[in-house]
Amino acid sequence: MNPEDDDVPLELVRLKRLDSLAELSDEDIMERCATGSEIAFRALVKRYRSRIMNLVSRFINDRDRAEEISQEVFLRVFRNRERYRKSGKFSTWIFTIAVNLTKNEIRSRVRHKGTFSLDALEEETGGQGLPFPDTNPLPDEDLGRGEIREKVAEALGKLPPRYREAVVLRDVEGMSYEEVGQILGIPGGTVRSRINRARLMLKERLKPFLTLEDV
Amino acid sequence: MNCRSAESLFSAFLDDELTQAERRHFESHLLGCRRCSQSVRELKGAMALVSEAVTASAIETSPHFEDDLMDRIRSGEAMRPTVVEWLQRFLVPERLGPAFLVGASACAVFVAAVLFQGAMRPDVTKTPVMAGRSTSDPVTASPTVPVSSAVAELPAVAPPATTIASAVPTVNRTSAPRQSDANGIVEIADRAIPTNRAELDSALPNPDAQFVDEYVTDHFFLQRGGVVSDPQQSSLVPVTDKGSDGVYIEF
Repeated sequence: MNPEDDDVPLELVRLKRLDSLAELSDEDIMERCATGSEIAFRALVKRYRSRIMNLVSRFINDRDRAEEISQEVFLRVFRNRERYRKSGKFSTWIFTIAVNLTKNEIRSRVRHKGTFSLDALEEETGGQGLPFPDTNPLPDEDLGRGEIREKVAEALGKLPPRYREAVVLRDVEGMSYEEVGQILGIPGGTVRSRINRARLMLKERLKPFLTLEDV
Repeated sequence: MNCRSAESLFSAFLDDELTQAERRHFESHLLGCRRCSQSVRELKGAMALVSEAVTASAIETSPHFEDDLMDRIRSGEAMRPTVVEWLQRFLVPERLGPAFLVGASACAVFVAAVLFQGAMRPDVTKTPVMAGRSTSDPVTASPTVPVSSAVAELPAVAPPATTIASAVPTVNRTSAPRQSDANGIVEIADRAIPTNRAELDSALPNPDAQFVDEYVTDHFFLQRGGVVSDPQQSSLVPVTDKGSDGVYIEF
């Protein structure tokens, strides 16, 4: 603790330090985290918790479980903080952990059902789509949009898992094809074809909702 | 480029992931194909819908997410290795080295023992068989059957239904008195070793059992053939478990 921080409450000092990390890249913050800085770790949690939660939630249809898995992702990051190499992108690393943990969850669910096919996840999610919670009642003018949102969620949920994970990483997380390939451990050509297949399937399911201005 | 191959490039085109050559071919196809250009527009619209829906329905973590996480870290849970991590730590080369050496040594000793045992065993295929018996004899045609087990399989009263029995012509074994020890080794005790056929037959307590005994002793003879002075002479060595070399037990 700096001498000038002596009279300041601990939480404020934390916030101050967190602010000071705002300008740093993920990799630099992770480097500090590797040296044992809790503030740096908290900064990473703040940056990534929503993204990880969204990613995991879109793979498994269970919000509580998604939160547990998201926490597990950060626990893994903390546990392996010294193994992280700055040469790689932090986002790729943490998303790889998240995808692997999510796949484990899917496998264990599928195994519980007595089948070993990952495609059986569709059955697991019941074809109901992935959670896009919207608890607030929608005004009348937004009803159309709300319905479309549900249809999009349903269409995404009905994609086979290997296509869904590719399209979610690309279109929800905005990752490059190369990053998607690194995270999923598949070559570039496979990434390209999976994303394309997934989008074509989505397009077929969402066709009735495409307006002239969309097209 | 046909429509099928063009369709496989729709997403890469929209994401600007095509090479220059691919883009050139693709665009020239789109110019001449109304269906594909319409599909590309629809795909773009669908992607916009998905993007909008995803953005509008972002899922937030619970307010106590961070505190729960830090509590788990402080409790030491973060440092608890998973099964896979534990195995990875255990299976490091430094730890595996001594274990590997011990395992390799044990394997080497075992292999050496097996080889030594094989080298010490006499070669039964080169030993002469009893005079007057051809190799096509059904008894000698099954030399791989262990004698001790074959004899042990012969019941004292009931007719046998074992593999050795099928190799031996029908014999009334009920009349062949035998004594067997705890290991099932049949004993024809304390007789002088017969040296010819006549003595052989007379040495048997029951002529009906001759074939079985011959079979047994034939193999015993084969094992002991090296020590018989005149292998051409028909000879029979009674089976006994009191031999000094225990050779029939090894059968």
